[in-house]
This record gives sequence, structure tokens and C-alpha cells, in this order.
Amino acid sequence: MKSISKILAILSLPLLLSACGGGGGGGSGGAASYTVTACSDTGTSFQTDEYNTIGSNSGQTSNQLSLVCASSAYARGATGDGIKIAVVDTGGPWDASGSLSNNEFNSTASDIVKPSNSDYVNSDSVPNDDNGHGSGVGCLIRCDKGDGDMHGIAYNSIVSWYKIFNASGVIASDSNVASALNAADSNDIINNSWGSNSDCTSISTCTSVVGANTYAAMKTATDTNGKILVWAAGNSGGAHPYAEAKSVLYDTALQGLSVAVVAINATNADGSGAKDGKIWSSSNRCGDAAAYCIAAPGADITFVGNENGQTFYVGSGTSYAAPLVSGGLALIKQEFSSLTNTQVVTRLLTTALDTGEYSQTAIYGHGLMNLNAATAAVADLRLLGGGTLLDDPNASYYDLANNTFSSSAAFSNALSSALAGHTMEIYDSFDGANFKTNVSSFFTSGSYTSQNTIENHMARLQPKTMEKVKTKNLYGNFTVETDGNYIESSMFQSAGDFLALGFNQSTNSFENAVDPLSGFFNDSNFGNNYLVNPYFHAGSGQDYFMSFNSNSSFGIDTFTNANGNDLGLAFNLNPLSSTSGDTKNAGDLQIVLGTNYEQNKFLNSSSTGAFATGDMSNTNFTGVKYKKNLGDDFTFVGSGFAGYTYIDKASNSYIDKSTPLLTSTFTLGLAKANFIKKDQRIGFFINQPQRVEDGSLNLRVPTSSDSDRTVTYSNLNVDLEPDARQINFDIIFQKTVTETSNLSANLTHVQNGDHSNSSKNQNFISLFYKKTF
Amino acid sequence: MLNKFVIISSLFLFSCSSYLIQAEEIIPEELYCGNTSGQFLKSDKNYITADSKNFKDKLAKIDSNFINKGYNLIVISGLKPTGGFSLKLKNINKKKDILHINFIDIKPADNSKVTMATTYPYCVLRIENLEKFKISIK
Repeated sequence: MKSISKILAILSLPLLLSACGGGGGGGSGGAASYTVTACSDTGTSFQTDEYNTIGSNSGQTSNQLSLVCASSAYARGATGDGIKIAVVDTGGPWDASGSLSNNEFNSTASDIVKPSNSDYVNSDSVPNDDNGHGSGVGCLIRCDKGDGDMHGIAYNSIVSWYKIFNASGVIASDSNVASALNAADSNDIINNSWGSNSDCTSISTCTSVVGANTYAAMKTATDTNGKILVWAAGNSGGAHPYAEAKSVLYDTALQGLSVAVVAINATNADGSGAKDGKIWSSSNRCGDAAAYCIAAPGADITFVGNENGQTFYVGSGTSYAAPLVSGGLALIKQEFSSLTNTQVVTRLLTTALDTGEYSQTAIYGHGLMNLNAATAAVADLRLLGGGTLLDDPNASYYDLANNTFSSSAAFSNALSSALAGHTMEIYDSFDGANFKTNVSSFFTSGSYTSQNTIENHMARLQPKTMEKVKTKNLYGNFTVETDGNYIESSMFQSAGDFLALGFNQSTNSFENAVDPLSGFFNDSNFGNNYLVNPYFHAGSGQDYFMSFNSNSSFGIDTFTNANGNDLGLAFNLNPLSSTSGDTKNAGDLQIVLGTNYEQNKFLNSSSTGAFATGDMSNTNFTGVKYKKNLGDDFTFVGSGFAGYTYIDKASNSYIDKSTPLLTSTFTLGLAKANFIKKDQRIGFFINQPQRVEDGSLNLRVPTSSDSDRTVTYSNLNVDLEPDARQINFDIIFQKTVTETSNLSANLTHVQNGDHSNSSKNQNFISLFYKKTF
Repeated sequence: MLNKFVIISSLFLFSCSSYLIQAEEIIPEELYCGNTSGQFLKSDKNYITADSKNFKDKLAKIDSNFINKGYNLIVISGLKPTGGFSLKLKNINKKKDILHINFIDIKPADNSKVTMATTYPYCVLRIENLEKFKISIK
């Protein structure tokens, strides 16, 4: 955790204050707390010979990039791609005719720019470098990657050169330098590896030293155009940066967008320097400008030398630290498109390594540039709650951990397929920096087949150990099942069966009528609850049922659970009943019409935060259940359900809209008692677990954001119909061996598990024997 | 009378001797001065002649086009903290078998704007028959 003093230093930047002021809404607010990741250079696949400047032409080692952990940023995709950097210097890698003269810049010539009229020394459009300094500075930013030699820190950036020095190092006039800076404003970042050999102590003295026109151009760049100025601090070993870099201390128009850079020694270089990572002896220190100052490698640095050929040099100067910082800023700016330039600078300074040696603010300012931390989350990540403006005071945010969607297996396969490969944005609560994450990372897929475990099969076959207590009185029957000290289920049936109350026990008349077969039909954990209404999502452990039965032909079921998340109502018509004398041979038939309301879920798919659904998702369903005894030993059962689910939209939810979801489930079964021998039973069943037959939902997720802090959402239409249909084939055998021993066996074949055609078929054979002594 | 003759004769002879050892100014056939940021010109000596084993390498690092221009001497000013420093040839005087090569170190003016990299000001020269002389550089 950073020091309080540093936090205050950061917050003292007026522009930052205005930028962070709207952090708000339901989120955790602005930059009150943050953690800086260590400078770990972890992008090993990017740590090539070129990265270490060990090229066939460079021929020497320098760890200028690893010292600032650039490979970690590369591994996150931050290479400066598309970010425009101006090098205001002695010119760039062209000869006087305008031909590119240095092979280190020719792999993507369109990113090597010589703007019109950019030679402010010779007043022409070819900023050819007849000194070498500007080419070297530009190389540190953007020397090509992939040609076997060294590469620059922001090797995919776009670099333009503006020539203000001649071959002898004589600078153009004050007005021409100002013109060059004004022209460079077409870029995002302006690198200035030059300066006056003089200090200043106020706006007026700074203006005098820098030059009135140049000073005005500096203010135009920052205050008017919002561009970032990077300045070399100077090479006299002084206590403070030179005038151009130090002006930021006095002038609010420069603050937040002007950075001073001091140089440290590389620690693994072929040069003759100290190799200790400490301040280069000739570098000016951050001094009074510490709040706007950062350190970067600048001594014993490798870079391309002159305009002719690919000669590489080792050299020193704050000139070489500055372009590393300019490139670092480009990496941050590319990685986080949502940040303003002021926030890019703040992130650079905030994430600097400021422990140990680099904790000396008078020398190193904020510390050593740390691109690992600069491209990582600084504070908690969060999701924007539906708004489009990151700084809107009314914007709501969700903490990252509070956004989940646990999908039903009825459509989880389709959902997973649809979300694969799609990303969305989440935001750093520190500054709103945008991070990409997979949309699927918030979703948990329900699964029928994952319940196909040995344990569940055994539990299915194992005779119930619960103790059942039945009492009967004038008012009706009361049944309680206990397991140890716990009531597993209970049911009260009034005299005449008019009222039934159930706890963890369905009160549906048909389901209870087949209770003797429950060992076959109703006691499964893996998606084939054969005759149970699939739209009453029981299983919470505290389910409450209540039924009213007017007579044997009509009844009403209600369902809810302890959390009140579900409220179901079903009308049951029983046109056929085996207890009715005139239809005795027709079997038992129940037709169900009902509706179910789910709070913050649908089809038992619960969700929270940015993926929440509303309080009143509704499913209207119908079903048919049928049972018929065929002779004395055979029993046929069948059921089928279908429903339409209407998803209730929650405010600010990324689930934007949906079509009704049509779902189905069915079961066919045949059981035989006295199979071969008395006290042996066998059952055959075919079952399709609940499946979405039609329907879709539209996710509207944030996918991009701009430096104006505006978020753009994209639609992600998800067809929820899975690509296959799961069918369970089940054979169950039960045998009562003795009064105290039972034998059970089960063979299950699952086809297209979880409604996916990519699932392998599953086969289970279970055998269970139990003897009670 | 004799004394006057001796004095006059001595003055004459002395003037002849003085005339015989007076330096001859040499004009280099080629001369280019600049500065470079590379440490490759870091050297204990302030000049490198063509017979040095790394002369061509250093000349090429200054500018690869210089290889074919016949330069045979590199004069180095030493490490400077910034740009803006330069060398200017004052004159070259030949005295007996010694070439006295005199340069002026030019510093950037106070408060002038300079590039913030260490530099090594240099001059490269082509001097006829350089290998026949000893070199003294100031």
C-alpha cells in the first residue's frame, strides 16, 4: 500500500480531482485506496534477444526494458499500438532526400511519420536527422520488433519527428520551436529530450528561460489540447529539473499532463556506468518537482545511433529516460482507452516502484516506472451498472464478485456456446481503467450429468433410512419423516383429503398416489424426476406445499419456499381416476395448468448484480401425467410438461431483453412387480430432462470505452435452445432378499448429456446390497 | 670595427636559423566536425589515427559513409554532458616531424537549449602524409 503522503500528492493534482470526482453511484468511489503490483517482469515469451537489445547489429546487452517490466505489459497486449508519439528533436531516420535511411524503422513505414513542414531548421518537410540524437530517441520508443535487433518500448506506436536542432545541436528560434510544439499537438504524447541548461523559480522566470513562444506552446499543448508533455530533467546532476520540466511546478495549466523524467543506471549493460539501478550521477534530480517526476533507465542505454545504416550505440542521458517514459505512457493509453490523458499520467506516476532506493522522492519523484503495475488493476474491479458515462455521479457500479449467473441445465449448453469468445469491459475503481474479461466468466453452467456420480446412484438405490411416523386423528393424517434429529419432510392431509400441507413433500394428489413407486420414479438427483411438476423448483430444503382438493376430479396446488423466491399455483384436473368405478380400467390421468413466479431468477437460474433478473419472472405451464396398471403386475407411467417463461428485466441489468422461453420435459416408464420371482421389481424408463425448445435473450454488455469516459455497449444475442436433446435410459431392479436385506441394481445410459451433442454418452451400472443386523 | 662585424654577422646567422625552424601551416584535405552520443568514442587518447586497429570501426560508427573518404585521423574532445558542444579546428602547424593540431572547444551558451544526452564532440580529418608525423593535439 502506498504512503499517505503519496496519495495526497496524487490527489493534489487539480485535474485528477476533477476526473475522479464522479466515481460514484453505488460503487466504491474514487481513489481512496489502492495497491500497486510489484515490478515483476513476467511476460517471458516477450523477453527475446531483441527485448534485451542483444541483436545481430546491436551486439550488446542492456536491460532498459526489463527494468521497467515492459514484458508484463506486452503480455497484456499493451504495445502502444495506434498511439501517436511526437519526437521533437534533431530529426528522424531519413536522409536529406526523404528516403528512410535506417533499417531499424522500416518494418511498418506507415508508423514512421515525417509530417509536412516538420523541419523547423531548414523549413522543409523532411526532418532528416543529421545529428543522430533524434533517431536514437525515436528508436527507444519504436525501433522495429522482429528484425533481430533491439526493439523500442512501444514498438507498435506511431512516431512522428519534428526537427528543431541542426547537426551541431543548435536549436531553432523560439517561435519555430513553438511552431514545432504546436504541430506536434496532433499526437497524443510529445517527447522532449532537450531543455534549457537553467533552473527557474516562478512562472515568469520559467517563461523567460524557456522562451515566451515556447512556453505558450507548452501550455497550449496541455491546457488547450490535453496532450502529454514528457521532458528530460537535465544532465547537470542538479537538485531540480531544468526549466521546461520544472515549469509544471508553478503553472497549473501544465499540471497533470507534464512529466519530468530523471535517469537511472541500467543494471545489466555493456556500458561503463555504475550498473546499480540508482540515479545516474549526471542526472538532475526530481527535487521540487517530485510530484510530477518519475525515473527511468537512462544511463548505459542501447539505441540506434545515426541515420546511416544500423549502427547501435550505448549512451547516457535523461534524453534516453524520457522516451522510455513516453513509450510507457503509450502502453498505458493503448491498454486503457477509457482513460483521459490526465488519468494516463496519474496511473503512470501512481504505479511507479517507490520502495527502497526509489522511495527517495527528492531524487526519484514517484519512483521507477513500473509497467507491470501500470497495466494491471490498481484497485478493486467493478462493473458499470448500465450507464454510459463512467464519471456520471448517478452511475451505479457492482463489485466484481457480486455478479453471477447460475444457469439451468435446460439451456446452459446453449448459453456456454453463445458466450464463448465474447469479452466485455470491467473497470478499475481507482480511475475507471477498462479491462477486458470473458463474459462467460460470470456464468456458472448447471448440469444434469454432473449429478451422475457414484454417490448419487448409490443414494438412489439405498433404501430410505428415515424414520416415518404416522398419526391419525379426527382431523386427518399427519406424517413426519425424520433423519436423526431433523425433520426431513412432513405432510398433513385433512379428513376427506380436502386440504394437504406439505413440508419438503409435494401435496399433489397424483404424485402421492404413485408414492409406492417413488423408489423408481421420484427419487432422483440427476434430472429425471419423472412425474414431478418440473416448474415447482423444489429442493431448497425448505419447500412448502399446500393443496386444496374439491373432489377427486379437481384440485389446486400451491408452492413456495423459505426465501419466498418462488410462488407457484397449479390447477389439477383429474378426468380419469382408477378409484372411480366407471373409469377404473382407464387409469389415472391428471392435467395440470399452472403458473410460477420466481424472484431474481427464471427456470431456477439465479443471478445477481449486472446479470440480475427482475422480481417477477413468470412461467405458465401445462402438463399431463398418466398412470395405468396393466394387469396385476405391470404399471405404465407417462408425463409431459411444457411451459412458457417470461423473463422479468431488472433495471440496469445486462440482460436487456428476451423472448419467451418454451421448455419441455417428458417421461415414459413401465414397471413390473413380481419380476421372475415374487418380491422382485424391475422398471424401464425413458426421460428427457427439462430443455429449452425455443427462445433467446439479449445481453447488452459494455465492450468499449473512450477517453471522453463514454462507454459503448454491444448486443450479444443468445439463442438458448441447446444443440441436442438429452435422453436418459434407465433400468432399475429391486429385490427384497429377506425382511432385513435388500438388493438393488441400476443401469443408466445418458445420451447427449446436458443437451449437448459434444457430450460423450454416459453409462452407469450400480449394485447395492444392504443387510440390517 | 671587428666587433661591429661580429655582431652583424651573429644577427644575420640567428635570423637565418630562426627562419629555418618556423612552423608550416597545414590545411587538411578533408575535415568534418560533429558530435555523437555513442560511448564508442570514449578513449584515453584524444585522437585516433588510421593505423589504429579499431579506427575503421569507430569511423563507421560516426558515419558509415566516411569509410571511403580517406579520413585518417579522428580527434576527440571527451565526454560532454549534453549536446551543443563542438570542436573547431584552429590550425595545424608542421614543425619538423610533428604536426601541432589545435582545436577550440566550443561550449553551448548559457541558458541555451540542448539535447540531454552525453556527447563526444569530434572532428575527422584527412591530412596528407599523416603517417610520417608525430601528432600533438591541443
